[in-house]
Amino acid sequence: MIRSVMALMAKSIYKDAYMLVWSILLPLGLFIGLGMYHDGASYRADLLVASMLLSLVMGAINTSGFWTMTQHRRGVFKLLKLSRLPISQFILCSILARLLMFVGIAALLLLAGFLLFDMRISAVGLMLVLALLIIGSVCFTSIGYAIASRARDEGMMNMMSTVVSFPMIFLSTAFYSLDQAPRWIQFLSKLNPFEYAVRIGRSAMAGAVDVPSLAILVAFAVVCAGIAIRTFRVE
Amino acid sequence: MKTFIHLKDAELSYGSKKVLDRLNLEIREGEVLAIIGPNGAGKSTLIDVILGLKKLDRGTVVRSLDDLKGAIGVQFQTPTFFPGLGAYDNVKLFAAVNGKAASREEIEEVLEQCHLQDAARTDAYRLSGGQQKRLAIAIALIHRPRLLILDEPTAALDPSARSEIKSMIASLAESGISVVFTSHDMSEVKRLADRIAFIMNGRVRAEGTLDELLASHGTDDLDELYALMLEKGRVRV
Repeated sequence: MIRSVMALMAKSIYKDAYMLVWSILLPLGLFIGLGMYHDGASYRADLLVASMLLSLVMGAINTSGFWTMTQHRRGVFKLLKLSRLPISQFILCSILARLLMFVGIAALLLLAGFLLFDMRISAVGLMLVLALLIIGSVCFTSIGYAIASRARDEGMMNMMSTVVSFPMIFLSTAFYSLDQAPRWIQFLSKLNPFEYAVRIGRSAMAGAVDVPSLAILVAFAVVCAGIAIRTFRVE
Repeated sequence: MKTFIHLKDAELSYGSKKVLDRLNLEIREGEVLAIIGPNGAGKSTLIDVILGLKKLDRGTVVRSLDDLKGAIGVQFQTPTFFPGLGAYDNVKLFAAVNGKAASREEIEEVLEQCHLQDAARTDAYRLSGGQQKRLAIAIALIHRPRLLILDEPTAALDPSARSEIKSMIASLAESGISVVFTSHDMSEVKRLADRIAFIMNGRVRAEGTLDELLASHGTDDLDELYALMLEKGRVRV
């Protein structure tokens, strides 16, 4: 039953135009486009991680948030409450379906890196990227669910998801260094789960584990999942 | 006739607004019950209470259905489906969430019953309003419920789509499924309902078969009776 639900959910999610633009075309275009103009191996590795995580955060917060809000408005969760499948399992299926897609996009980016820029990643690095995608999916999708539970309509959802996701990206070292940034920005970046995802990703590309960042991201994931569960509403 | 669900002195408020006010209603096996009343009368809230989605402040709901989740099929006012999936996949998905591994034949049978066989592969989002309502009913039917609850199944549809859905409800009732539906269309109520409950200000103001209601209010037309009940309800308020 779960397998069937997950397969059909994946089919529904993959046809989402938002997902295509924000999580596939934008990160892929960004990586290939910028990667061709900057030929430093270290820059390209950082860019690959940034593109991978951009796909993850946009897909998990913005697209997943919109999808959840649409289902709320259609009464899908009310109908699910009347079904035999617990809503928590349904949400887990949707997170797993999205995770499969994030893994696919990451594989596509790694393949592009290998074919176009001769970039390599070790087996350990690959496993760490997979772990990052799993923890990141839980953390950022939970944020998307929490926002969707608060948004009353598409306009509010758009505003709220943008207000959360864009500062996360800008207050991180994904695309630039924050060494010269004001102290308060550096402080805010320390409260930003996306920054820890970036650090884990960069270490993974070098085949190493950034244990403190991993632990912090896991903590963020637990807290965000807790908030998403507490704030989740059927209507 | 067995009573599936019995609401006794049901009361529910949203803040200071009383939505259900000492409401009494029985839903019986094998009958078609129409719930009518003006907008804001409490019809949709009543459905949520029947389904167990909302809890009463006071009063009781007695359900004699053994397995509520498996026994009830619901179509809400807004058609419920997953965009990106066709009618076939939507029915299959909702069968799965109800713990039923529906076979191809079963899904095709339900789609045919709801006149959706030609739209089986069309993205549900692209279906017409009438087709989306029929898809919502197909989704409600796939796990073979004993009681079907339809919240305004023909609202905002053109006459042809309305007529198709009315025929569908009639044939479902003939097949033995108990149906509860809300409506503002008195011709639909006259044609389909075995029993009618008129709700206003959260209370059942009148209840009975069409003939009983017309006789007790000295009128020979349901539209006239509806207008009369609205007037009476306003006076009481």
